[in-house]
Amino acid sequence: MLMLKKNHINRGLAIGILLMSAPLFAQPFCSLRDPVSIIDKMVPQSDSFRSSVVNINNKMRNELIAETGITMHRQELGYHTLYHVHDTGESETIIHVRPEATRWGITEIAWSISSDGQIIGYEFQRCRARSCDDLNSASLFANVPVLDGASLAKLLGDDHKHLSPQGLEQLTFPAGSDALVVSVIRSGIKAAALIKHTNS
Amino acid sequence: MRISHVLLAPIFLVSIVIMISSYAVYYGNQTGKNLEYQYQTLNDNELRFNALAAEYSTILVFADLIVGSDQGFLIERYQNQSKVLRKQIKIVLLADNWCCSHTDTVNLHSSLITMEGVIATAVSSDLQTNPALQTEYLNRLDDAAVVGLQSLDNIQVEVKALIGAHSLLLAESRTAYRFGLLGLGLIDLIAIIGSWIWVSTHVSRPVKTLVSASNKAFISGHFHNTNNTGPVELKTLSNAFERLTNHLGDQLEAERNKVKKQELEARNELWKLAHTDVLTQGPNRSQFNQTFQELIAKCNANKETFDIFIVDINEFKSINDTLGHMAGDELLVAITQVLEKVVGDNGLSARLGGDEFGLLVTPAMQEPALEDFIKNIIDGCNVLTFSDGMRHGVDVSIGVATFPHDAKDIGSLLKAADTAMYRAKRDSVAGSCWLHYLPQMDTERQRRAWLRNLVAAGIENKEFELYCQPIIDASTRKVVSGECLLRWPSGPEHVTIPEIINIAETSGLILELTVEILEQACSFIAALEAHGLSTSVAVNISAVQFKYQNIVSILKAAIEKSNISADRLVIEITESVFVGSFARVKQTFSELQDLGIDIAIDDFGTGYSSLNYLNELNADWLKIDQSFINNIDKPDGERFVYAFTELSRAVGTKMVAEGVETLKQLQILQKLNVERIQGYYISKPIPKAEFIKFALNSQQVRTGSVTKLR
Repeated sequence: MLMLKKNHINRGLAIGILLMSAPLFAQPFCSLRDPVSIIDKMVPQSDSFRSSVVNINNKMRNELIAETGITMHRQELGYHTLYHVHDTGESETIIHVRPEATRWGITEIAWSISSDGQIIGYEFQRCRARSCDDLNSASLFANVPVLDGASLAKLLGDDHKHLSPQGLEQLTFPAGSDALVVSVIRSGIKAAALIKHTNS
Repeated sequence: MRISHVLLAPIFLVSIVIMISSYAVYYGNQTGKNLEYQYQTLNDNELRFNALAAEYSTILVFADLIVGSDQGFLIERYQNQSKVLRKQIKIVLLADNWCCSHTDTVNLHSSLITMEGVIATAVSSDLQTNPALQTEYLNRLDDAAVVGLQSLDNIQVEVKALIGAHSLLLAESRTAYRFGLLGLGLIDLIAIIGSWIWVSTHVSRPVKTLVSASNKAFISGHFHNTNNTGPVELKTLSNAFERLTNHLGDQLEAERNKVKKQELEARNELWKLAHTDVLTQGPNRSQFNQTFQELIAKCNANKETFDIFIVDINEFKSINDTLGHMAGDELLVAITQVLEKVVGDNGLSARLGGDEFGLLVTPAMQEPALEDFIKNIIDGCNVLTFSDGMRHGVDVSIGVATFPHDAKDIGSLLKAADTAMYRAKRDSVAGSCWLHYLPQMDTERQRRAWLRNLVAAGIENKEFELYCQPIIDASTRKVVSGECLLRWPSGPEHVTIPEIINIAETSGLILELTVEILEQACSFIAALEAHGLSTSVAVNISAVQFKYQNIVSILKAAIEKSNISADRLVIEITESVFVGSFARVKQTFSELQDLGIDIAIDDFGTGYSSLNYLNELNADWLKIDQSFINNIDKPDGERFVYAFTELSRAVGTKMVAEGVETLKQLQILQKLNVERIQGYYISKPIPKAEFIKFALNSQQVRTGSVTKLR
């Protein structure tokens, strides 16, 4: 359900464009839900947002893979929507909701990233894992001093499927939620790379 | 118990232990394999579960994409995969080795069917235009997925728990297996050590005991069987050893006793040989010395006294020379018997060597007991017979010393008794003699030793000279002869020529001295001849030398050396030469006279004056002793000399009167027709050169005049 708060027109337009354009752009592996509620949750002081569509073609995919070292599923090709959220202070926060294929099915993670590429936090938009409720951004990254794509990459091992010793040391999460944390970090790395690529 | 039983027990024990150990190892190994198989099965279950979980996750993704992203084109792949997954779940459910709860697996299967139903309905609906419916379907999909995910979680937990438990069990099993192996090894080792101790105790130790007893038996000759334990065979062997060794031991003991007895007898024989004189079968010097030492120790301890006697046979050499050594040996045996009889139980008599005997008599005797004791020895020696009963009696010289009065040690006592014996022998005129040791004898002995060395040096340095006392013919008054008298100008004062002669005789120097005198005398005769004098020269020969040394050969050598006529030489001997060895003296007389040498009996009338000897010896001259000449001016004296002159004419000898010191003596002697005159009235002994002058002068004296020549 779409949640219009401060700039219902723009938001509505954006959603309308998104919904209408979806069939046109093949079937992108994109968020399953409307991001309005999650935008409100992540940027409560926002007064408007605009959306932009990023086309991840083969070239970009290869560049992102080369940059992050993380394999991107071919179904991640296509158009992806970025939400540029503005608050009263004129600052811009980019919200990017990434659907991540996990053992619990598609887990949707919404990343809020500042215009200079710093990750502000994340929220689960859709998650079947039981530990999702206990794994919030603030507590997970409480001991990570800098949050960006490079620092997140150091939290994973070379195979990008397990946490690195630094990750095990700096990340705070409930026992038994390692797989979900790895999925979150992978998602964050790709989100940051995508936004960085888009900005450049 | 037999050796086979002893060995069987440990073999049985070790075999049982090894069998048990082997079975335990086998059982442990099988158990471990079972556990490993179960563990492997669990791991297979986990792999299968992971495959199911991964497949389920893929199906969920497809489901989400189909419902949430309107990607209906995935429906076919979804359905196929879901169908395959359900088939796999059924296979798992039917598998015997599936480890976990079937309920969760069934729930997982059910969730797939539910999701298939939801998706089938969703695909047929227009979700793209109806977000609410899409949300609803997503929620329904979530509900079904949650059931499946919950089942997967449960199965995962169960699998991990089982794997963990089995892993622990497997690790414990492996540890237990290792410790079990170690324990079994220890048990095996204990069984082997126990067997070794058992065999050692029941076989090795009894064998060692047997060997030890055998070794002891080898030394002692008796086997002491202490082998009461151990196998029957060893006991039997031990008993056999005991019988054999004891039998051999008895024989050995008997042999040892026999050898010991022989050894004792041999030792006694050796002792006897070592302590017995071979000839006399009485004690010898060795036993004498041993008894001497014991006696000194005993007397020292008990403050007792004893006498030591040294008995020496007089003229034993003469007896040996004249009667033969057999006679000498008989004499020694006879003397031994005499001494043993006299000593009796009061001491010991032993032959010390040669003709010397030693007596030890305790306690020491005082006069007159001592004199009686010695008298018994002398009397016994005087009456003994030897040389097949042809000879009767010998004279002995005896020296006595008393412990502790004269000396306190063996050497000093022997020396004292010896000194006394020699002094007695020296001082003896005739027959047996004895003296008790006096300290001054040592002084005398020392003086004689000193003098002996001087005499020896004097002979070597030719310090002795001959003086000659002229002897004139009583009727013509011409010097017809001269008696050589020994002089030692460079000799020590207060030493007389008789003493020198005595020392020379007792020390063995007399031979060299005699040779020197005879050579000088012969040389003197040659000098006289050179001056145209036919004067004879008389030389005194001691009785000792005359009897015991080959005087004939000595004289021959001297005469030949000087190239003189033997008839110019006169040998003067005293009557003592006749004592004891008359036959030998007679033989020497005969040999000398055959050479042409005259023999004069010196100092006639003072000694034995045996008319028998005088008759048989046929001496050339008799020299009347000065003691008769001194009394010649007395009536009895003249008769005595007259008797002598008659006697000499009767036996065919001529006379020389010596010691003539007065004219009256000379005149009487001329009246008695004594042939030759010698004495200070004519001349004292003068050096040879003077004698020659004197003799030459005498040749010019008128016949019949009685004038003192010097």
